[in-house]
Amino acid sequence: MEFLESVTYKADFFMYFFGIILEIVVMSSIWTVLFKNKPEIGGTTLKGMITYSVLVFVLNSLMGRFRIYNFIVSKIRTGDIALELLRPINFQLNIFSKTIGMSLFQLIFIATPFTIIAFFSFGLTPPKDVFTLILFIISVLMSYMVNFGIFYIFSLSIFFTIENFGIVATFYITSSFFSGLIIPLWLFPPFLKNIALFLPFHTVFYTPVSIYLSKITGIDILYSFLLQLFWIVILYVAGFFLWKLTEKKIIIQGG
Amino acid sequence: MLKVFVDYINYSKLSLKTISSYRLDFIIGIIGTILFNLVNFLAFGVFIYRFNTIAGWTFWELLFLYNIWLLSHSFYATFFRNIQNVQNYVASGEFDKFLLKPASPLAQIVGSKFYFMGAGDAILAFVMLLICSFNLKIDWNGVKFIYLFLTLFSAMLIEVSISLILSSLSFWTTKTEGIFYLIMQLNYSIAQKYPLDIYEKYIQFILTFVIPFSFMNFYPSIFILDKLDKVPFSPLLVFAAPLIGFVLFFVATLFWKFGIKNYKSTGS
Repeated sequence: MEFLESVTYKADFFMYFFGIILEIVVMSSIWTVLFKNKPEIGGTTLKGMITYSVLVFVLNSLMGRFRIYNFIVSKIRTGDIALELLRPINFQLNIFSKTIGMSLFQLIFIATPFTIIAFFSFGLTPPKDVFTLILFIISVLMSYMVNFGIFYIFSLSIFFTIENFGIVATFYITSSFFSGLIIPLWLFPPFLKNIALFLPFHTVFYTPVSIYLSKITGIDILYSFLLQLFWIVILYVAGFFLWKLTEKKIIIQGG
Repeated sequence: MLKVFVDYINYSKLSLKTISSYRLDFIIGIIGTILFNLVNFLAFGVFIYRFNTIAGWTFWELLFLYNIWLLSHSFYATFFRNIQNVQNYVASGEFDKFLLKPASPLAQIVGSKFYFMGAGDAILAFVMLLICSFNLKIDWNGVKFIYLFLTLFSAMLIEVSISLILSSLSFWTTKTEGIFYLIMQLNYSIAQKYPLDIYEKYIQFILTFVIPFSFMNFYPSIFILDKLDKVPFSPLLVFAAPLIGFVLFFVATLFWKFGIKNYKSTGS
């Protein structure tokens, strides 16, 4: 948990890079042990599982869940959020474009080199065909927006409650767990799987990577795209109204 | 050393007073800490549901390892965590303030700030260890019981010492933040969560002989849980935790002393 805190407040390039490597070393060690003497589990080989873990952690670095949180909460902490009222642009879209800028940096300097290195060192499974790769990229783009929506709402809600790191860490790890970041949903017991499918988190990591690995195929891909779209719209609208409430509160409290 | 301890107690009293001023934050923090760890247990649960064991480690054994680590870590996390701010104090020049006062700088730094969220770790780990002990039917003879306490104390010493050594580096170089967090993350993501024997040999070697975090939970648990067949390198290592703890603490105090001397001679 302390590490999460340090990543939240003073994340730098080196720590991100090393952080991903460690996560992948841990997960690939576990999959290796669990797959000993078993060619495949749940229709996936060891290589497929390691590919899953590498891709979700690389995506996680791109999504920058803590970057969104930090950006908004520092505005709340310093009071700069009041200045946003003066701007003619939509706050949510403004933050979104800033987030994209930071993610592009991650994409160029961390995610891409890392994926290339991992591809050769771990021997990752390539996608079935070019079409699968394209569907994967479309899904990633949508999952990026879902993830933004989730963390935008969570961060902004700090304005109405209190800022407590215990809550932030719990939200982070709960969303990680239900998004399939640690374990893919196809290994979940039915009860937990149903909870996970009901929540928006799984469309962030589980959906795109499952498409990449052809765990989701055919008409189900269309269905998962629609589900991602559904969450993008719901979260955007919820975020829109939450900002209206925030504006009202700033005006009442502020001078 | 006694003077350091007395100073520490006096500073602690001041820190304890802050608890009442942030009561709501404190309670929410504790609940958050507990929930955070429970989600980790949920992940263990899913692995065990699918695979029955992880390399021969059952659900309760995994939890036993995790919570031995968590209980000893909670002492560090609550009472000694301010050691990690030494690098900031040195960088900002605030460290001079500690040197001007008649009390020992280490006692002032450690005692001046407590992180009460660590109490959540302690409560959860204690309860979980009781549950694990009951489910695993651990045969608590006198030796195991005494060794459990020795382990918890040594594990605390190991974490405090490594933190102190890394912080002392900031007396020589200003760029210690990165290395500090990298090494501490080895602890959080590898030593804390899963048993050492599932990792490749080079990781086992690093966490045993280079940065000995695995003595915080893995080696002592091998003895307490009677799983000697799982020990890498040598079976003697299961009793090495107290030795490692004390030696490391001695080394850490040397680092600290030389560091301060170096700081004084160069500093202004």
